[in-house]
Amino acid sequence: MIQMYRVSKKIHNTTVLEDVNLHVGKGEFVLLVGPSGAGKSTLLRLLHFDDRPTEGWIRVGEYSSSALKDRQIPLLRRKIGIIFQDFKLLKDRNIFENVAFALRVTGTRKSLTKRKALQTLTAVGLAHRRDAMPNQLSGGEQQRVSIARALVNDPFVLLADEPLGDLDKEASSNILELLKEINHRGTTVVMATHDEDLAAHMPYRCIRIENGRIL
Amino acid sequence: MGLGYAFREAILGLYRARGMSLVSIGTTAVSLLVFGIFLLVTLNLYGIVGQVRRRIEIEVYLSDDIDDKEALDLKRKVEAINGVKEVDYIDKEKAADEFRQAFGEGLLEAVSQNPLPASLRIKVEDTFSTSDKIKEIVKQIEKRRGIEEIEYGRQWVERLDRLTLIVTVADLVIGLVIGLSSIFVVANTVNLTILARRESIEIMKLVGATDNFIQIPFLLEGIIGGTLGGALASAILYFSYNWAVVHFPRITFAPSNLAVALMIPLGAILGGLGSRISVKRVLKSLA
Ligand SMILES: Nc1ncnc2c1ncn2[C@@H]1O[C@H](COP(=O)(O)OP(=O)(O)OP(=O)(O)O)[C@@H](O)[C@H]1O
Ligand SMILES: [Mg+2]
Repeated sequence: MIQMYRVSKKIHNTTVLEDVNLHVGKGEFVLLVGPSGAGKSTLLRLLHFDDRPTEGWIRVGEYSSSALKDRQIPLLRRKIGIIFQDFKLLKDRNIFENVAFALRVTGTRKSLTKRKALQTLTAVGLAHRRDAMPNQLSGGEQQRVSIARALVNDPFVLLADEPLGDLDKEASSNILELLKEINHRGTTVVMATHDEDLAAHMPYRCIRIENGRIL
Repeated sequence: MGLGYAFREAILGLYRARGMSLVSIGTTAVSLLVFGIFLLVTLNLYGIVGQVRRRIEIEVYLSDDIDDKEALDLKRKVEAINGVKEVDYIDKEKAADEFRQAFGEGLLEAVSQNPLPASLRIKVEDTFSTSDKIKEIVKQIEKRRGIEEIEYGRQWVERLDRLTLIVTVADLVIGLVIGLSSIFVVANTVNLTILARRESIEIMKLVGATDNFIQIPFLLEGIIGGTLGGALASAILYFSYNWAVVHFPRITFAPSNLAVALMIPLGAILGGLGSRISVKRVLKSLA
C-alpha cells in the first residue's frame, strides 16, 4: 500500500530524512512517533507528494515517485486524504463549501456533490452546522470538517499530521475515535504524533523516527 | 470545470473578499481615469493642431498680364498637383471686394485703377500641411508662367511644425509614464488581493485542485474586477467630459466616446493579466 525505499530528503543542504525504509499494509493504522523536528511532517509531505524525495523512491497505492508526473499529482491527492494540526480549512467559505470543494475539483456533478458532502458531514456529526463558517466552530469541530473533506473522495489512505495537537482532551479522544472508525471501515491511516503517551496506549504499530532516521 | 462554476466562483470570490475587491476596483478606476484624462487631452490637442493646420493656405499672386482664361487654365493645372485639396480663383474684382470688406470703402476708390492682383488660393490636404510638403507644392507651381509671388506664411508653418513635434514627443513620454504606472499600480493591487489568499490557494492544491481549476476563477475575477474599474472610469470620464462640453461652449471638443469606452477593455485586460501573473507566481512558489 505504502512503501518507502531508501528515501532521503535534503532541504537547503540539511538532511531532514535519511535512508528511510517503510512499509504500511492495506487497512493498517500506523503511528509515526518522534520528537519535534524529527521529520514526521516531512515524511507525510513526501507521501502526499507535496515534495519529492532527494533520493530513493516512494509508492503510494498505484502511484510511484519514479513514474509520477507533476501534472498527475492533483489526481493522486484526491485519493490520499490528509489532515493537519491547524485544519487548513478555507476560511472564507462555510463548512459545506469546504467539504464540497474537494468534490468540485474532481468535476463531480452538482447533485452528487451536494449529496456526498452532506453524507460525509453527517458521518462526522456536523451536518447541522453546514452553513457555519470555520471560525464559528470549535477546534474539534473544525478538525472533523477537515476529516470530512479528506474522506469525501473515498481515499484509500488518510494521512494525519498531529491531528490532536491543538485539541483538548475530550475533543482529542473524539477525533481519535473517528479515525479508528475510519480505519475500521478499511481506510489505511498514518498518523504522526510526538505524544509518546498516546502512542503507548494505542494498540497500533508504532514507527519511531528521530533525527530523520527510523529507529 | 464548467465555465458556469468558474464564473460563480469568480463572483463569489469578489464578494468574499469584498473589502479587497473594492480597493482593487477603485484603484483600477483611478488609474484608468488618469490615463483616460491623458487620452482625452491628447485627442483635443491633436484636434486643435489639426484645426490650425486646416487653415493653412497658399496664396499664388498672378501677374496682371494674364487673362481669366489663362488663370483658369493654371487653376486646373494646380488642382492636379498631388496634395492640393481645393483651389479658389480670386479675380481682381473679388480681391477688391475682399479688400473693401476688410478695410472699408474709400481707400481703394482713392486710386484710379484697381491695384490688387488676382490670385489662386490653395487649400492643401491635411497630410500635406507640413512645411516640407508645402514647399514641394510651391516648387511645382513656381515654374509656371504668369506668377508674381507665392505666399504661405513660411515661418509660421515651420513654427507649427516644431510645436507639433514637441507636443508629440512630450505626449508620448507622458503617456508612457502614465500608462506604465497604471499597469504597475493595478498589477500590484491585484497582486495584493491574490497574496491575501495565498493560503487558500495552498489549501486548494492540497485537496487535489489542478492549477487550472485554481487559476480560471481568479482570472475571471481579475477580468470582472478590471471591467468594473474600467466601467467606473469610463462613466466618470463620460459625464465630466460632457459637462465640460456643455459648460465651455466656445471650445470645440474632440469626439471622445471611443477613447472613453476604451477604458473598459483596458480594465479587463489589466485585471485579467495582473491576476493571471500573480496566481501563476503563487502557484509556482507552492510547487
Ligand atoms: N522548509 C524547510 N526549510 C528548512 N528546514 C526545514 C523545512 N522543513 C522542515 N525543515 C527541518 O526539517 C526538520 C524536520 O521537520 P519536520 O517538520 O518534518 O519535523 P516534525 O517531526 O514534523 O516536527 P514537529 O513535531 O515539530 O511537527 C526540522 O529540523 C526542520 O527544521
Ligand atoms: Mg510536524
